Amino acid sequence: MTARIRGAAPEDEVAAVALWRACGLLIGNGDPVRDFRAVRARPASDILLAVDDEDLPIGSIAVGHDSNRGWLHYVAVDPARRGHGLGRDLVRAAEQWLAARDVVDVHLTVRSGNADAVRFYERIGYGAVPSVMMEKILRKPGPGLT
Amino acid sequence: MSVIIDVCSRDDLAGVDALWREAFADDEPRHRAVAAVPVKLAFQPELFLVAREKGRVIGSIVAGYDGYRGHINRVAVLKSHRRQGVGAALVREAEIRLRALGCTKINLQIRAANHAVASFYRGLGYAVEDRISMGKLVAADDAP
Repeated sequence: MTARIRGAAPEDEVAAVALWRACGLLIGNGDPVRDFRAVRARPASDILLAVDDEDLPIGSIAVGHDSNRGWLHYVAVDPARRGHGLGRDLVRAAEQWLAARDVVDVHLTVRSGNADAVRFYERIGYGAVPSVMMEKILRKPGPGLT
Repeated sequence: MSVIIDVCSRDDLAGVDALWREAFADDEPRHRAVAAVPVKLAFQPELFLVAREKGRVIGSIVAGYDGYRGHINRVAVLKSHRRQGVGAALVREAEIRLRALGCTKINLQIRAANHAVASFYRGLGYAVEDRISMGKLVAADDAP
């Protein structure tokens, strides 16, 4: 199976969010609609979609960089379309997107315990980076919140 | 002590270089100031901050926003100026600037054995996120 990979358009929003939900990516506190719009709105990030013959999304990857590193998020392939190399093709397309912007240091995070994802990334050239990830949620500006 | 947090300028290159050589002695060449500073000044320069005392660079932070997550790198304070809140002031200013860009969450990575820096970030509201970090250096001739 070959799938075309193209940049996401505003009208892909509903299908992309549905894909992320079907792939189990929406288990945190994030707002996927906001993410879809924000990633596409900025010059240094985009969402790439693998689409079927009817131009409907069957895979996705969000790619962006801060000039220092490229980051991959929302890597998803429709559960019914797995095993055909779509994920590999999406990652490769994102790497090319980054390389075209002179960014060659590509990073991503995997939830601890997701051994399948780790094996997938190792097969396509990624290695675990020994480090501890820390996070902070930024609250909206407002009284009493600094 | 009067410390100013400001956006990094080209005039800070030598000061940043000295700071990073002290703080990150095992840096690879591509991370040295002479290579990394011009790149950052060309992209999201407003997220590259330094702390200056009497014009001398005593601290740095390089924040970035990839459109989805904010990132914090290169947090450094001269050994002679530590434990005075300079690092915290740099992180707070970077957070304000990331939030202004629409960023809702910051991720940063620390070395597993670096307990001192983990407690520094905990004090600023950061928590350990149970994630495996993976990376790849994509060579220019790697592209299919």
